[in-house]
Amino acid sequence: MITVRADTVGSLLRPPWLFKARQEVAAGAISDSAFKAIEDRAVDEAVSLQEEAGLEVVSDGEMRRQSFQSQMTEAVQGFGEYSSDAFLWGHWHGDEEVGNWSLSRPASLGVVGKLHRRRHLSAEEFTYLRGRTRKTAKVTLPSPSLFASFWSSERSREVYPTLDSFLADVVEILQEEVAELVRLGALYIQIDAPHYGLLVDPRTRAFYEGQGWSLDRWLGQGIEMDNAVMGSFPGVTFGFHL
Amino acid sequence: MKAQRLLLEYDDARSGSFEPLREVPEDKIAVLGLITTKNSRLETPEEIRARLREAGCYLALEQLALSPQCGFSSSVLGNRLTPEAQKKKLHLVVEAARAVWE
Repeated sequence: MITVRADTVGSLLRPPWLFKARQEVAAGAISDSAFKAIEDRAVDEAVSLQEEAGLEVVSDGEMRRQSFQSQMTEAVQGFGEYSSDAFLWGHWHGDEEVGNWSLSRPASLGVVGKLHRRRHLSAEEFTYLRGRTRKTAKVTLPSPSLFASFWSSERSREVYPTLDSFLADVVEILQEEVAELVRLGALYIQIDAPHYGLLVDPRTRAFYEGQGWSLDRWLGQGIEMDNAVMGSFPGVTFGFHL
Repeated sequence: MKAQRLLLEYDDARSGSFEPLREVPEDKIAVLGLITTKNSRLETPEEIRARLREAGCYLALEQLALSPQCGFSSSVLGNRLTPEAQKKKLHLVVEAARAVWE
């Protein structure tokens, strides 16, 4: 087991030039090759920042992601149309500066096709990072139940009659991802599950209960799915970020 | 729960007390996210050491570790802190950990 005392959660601030390059590649203004060179440079800087701080575990700063869970929806077909609001809706408690704010769940959110993985979620992230550092390379993956919000009783029923049938496919994709990361040499994989904490909010809980899962089921079955994703890999340490 | 390292957010009063740390099984490490990633205010090493001592009342230091509370940029938009503050906070994690465990 990895016992380092100084750890990090994963993401780092993205440089403005990476943000600009991402928009340019999406608009077709720069080539994929030019964009990847810029993205690689952002990872290099993230690695240097962490190594200079003296950390023994380093991440790629999630420079290649839109948000911490977006690798799933970017690499896998079937999630339907979504914007960043898909990951941000809810009622949020901010500090004095930000204040409290709310965002509604986008009405068009909903899985519309059988999930089909087009590419691995994080193999590129890990392989590049492994080549850039001699420290332990950490990769994060989203908890499967985080995607419950993508199942819609109106829009998804034809392809996935129940929330469970949809999440079973999400679990399988993540299991395959863990196996691939281990094969590539990963020793420290973190599952991100910030949604468990949101269950204390009655409004958030009411939405998930409406999806067909009671609170008990969330805690029991949700964790059972997380465990299934972690599988059985002696020598690999798993983190769980709540 | 199979995971061996539990990364827990503990950067403000809303995070609650350290009492639930009593429940952490012997074979796991609780990584305490004591350093906030929500703003640029830099915690002092003394503040962090004191919080760790407090946590140590509920779980042995050998089962504890330290980290920032969350990622610094959960999405591309980034949190409300400067790159300079991010750098200082990463250094603080390492320095405070060395002072407590080495």
